Amino acid sequence: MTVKDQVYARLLELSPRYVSGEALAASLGVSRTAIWKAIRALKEEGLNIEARHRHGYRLLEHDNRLLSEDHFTRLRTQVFGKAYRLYTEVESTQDIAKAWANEGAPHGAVVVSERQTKGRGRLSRNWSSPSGKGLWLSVILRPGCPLSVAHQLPLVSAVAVARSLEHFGFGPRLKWPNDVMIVDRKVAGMLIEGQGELDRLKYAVLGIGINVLQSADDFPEALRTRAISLKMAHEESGERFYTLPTRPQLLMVLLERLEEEISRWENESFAMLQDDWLKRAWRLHELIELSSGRERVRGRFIGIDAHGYALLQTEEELLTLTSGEIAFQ
Amino acid sequence: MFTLREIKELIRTLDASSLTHIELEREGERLVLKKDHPSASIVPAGSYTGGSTAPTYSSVPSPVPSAPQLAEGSVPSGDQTQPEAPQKTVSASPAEDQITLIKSPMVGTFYAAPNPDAPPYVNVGDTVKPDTVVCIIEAMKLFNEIVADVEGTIVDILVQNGTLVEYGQPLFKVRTTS
Repeated sequence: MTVKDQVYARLLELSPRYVSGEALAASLGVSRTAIWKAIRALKEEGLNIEARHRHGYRLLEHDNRLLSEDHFTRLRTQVFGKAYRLYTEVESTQDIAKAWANEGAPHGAVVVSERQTKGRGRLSRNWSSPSGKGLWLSVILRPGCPLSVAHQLPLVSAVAVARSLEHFGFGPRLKWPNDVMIVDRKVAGMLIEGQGELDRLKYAVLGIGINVLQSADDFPEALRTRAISLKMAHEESGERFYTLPTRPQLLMVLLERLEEEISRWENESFAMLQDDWLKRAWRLHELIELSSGRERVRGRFIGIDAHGYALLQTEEELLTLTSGEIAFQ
Repeated sequence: MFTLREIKELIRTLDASSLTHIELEREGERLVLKKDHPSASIVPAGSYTGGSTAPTYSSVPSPVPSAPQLAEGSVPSGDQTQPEAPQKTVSASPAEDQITLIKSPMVGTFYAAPNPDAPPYVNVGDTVKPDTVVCIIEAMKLFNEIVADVEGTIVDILVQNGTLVEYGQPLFKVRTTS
């Protein structure tokens, strides 16, 4: 753990009480200067830390803090999040982002809302997105790639989401093609809607939902055994392994990772990301059931090929699947 | 130029009437609408020839706008002497030439509607413009809206909702208007 992470953990533990720089330095065995640097770095990451004379530092509004424009001005990305629209409540960030894309929003433009009243999942299924409990965002992508490789975007994005969770110590798994799991439950999901122009991708709108602060009760009953938030994972681990990020912190890290992974994919190829996906694969080498359209196939999940298609070994043959969803069991 | 709406209106008029032929000229553009049988006639059993009772039309732009010889050529009495020949050309190869296929630009699952409860993006008989969304192809949770890229009328939908399509597989038949 770095000094910064230790300072953060200590502030979190004591919030909303104050802790002096001197006490922090003594308990961590580092200099006052190191504490000061760590505080500054945490502030840059979007943490709302109050410094008060004779009292010390304290973490404010940790659990339900609004995202603010301030966070975006501190982003360390080239283009991602440089254009953004921030809302308190919308029906769906995806719809706003699509309309914005049609008006010419640039690559990397972001739409975030505290709450979605009609958050959408796959095929217009509802995505539960209560106020302040998670990150609900849509990112406009203009990779200018042929449509024939556009299907790799969900996998590339999933690697970026996983890496941003790993930044805080979580160990996510990737469920082919677009879900992110923690201990067999879904912590994040993605929906990508593109529009083609002849054989090229004109734009894609990447919708991401990450469950951050929900308790089990916050999820609709049907989802309780299948969904998890970072907070729940943090608590279930005995709060030992992970740092629970604030939503702005997570958003900043996520946008950085998305920019890195998507430009890596644009400049190189999916083959470069294949291993990054595979080493995080959920149910790899296990028997799974995959539903595709109206069909269901059972077999051993061998992984993905260099195009990102799923490989399934059935009793008869090795299937390459371009579409479908792995069933929960 | 004749607008799509005007042409559709004329087709409806022709369909409802006992006429088999309408010819119009305006601003140097000539529009010819023909049908093989009057509306009252019934398609003989076993001789269905892919919409032969439907009116076929072609918009013929004049090379020289409002040239006098074109106006002469469109005098109806000249056509009535040989009705067989022009009808044959219209209903055979030129009609097929106007059919354009919208093909799948990617491998994936074909969805006719944005979600299972919604009506399909397009039905047979609908007119489409180049930017009209005609379906979604889903590959690995990338839901890609496919636009028509042509202007015309949907005459056939070649794949069923929820089925897997290959790259380049024809999805729709469109009778193009240009």
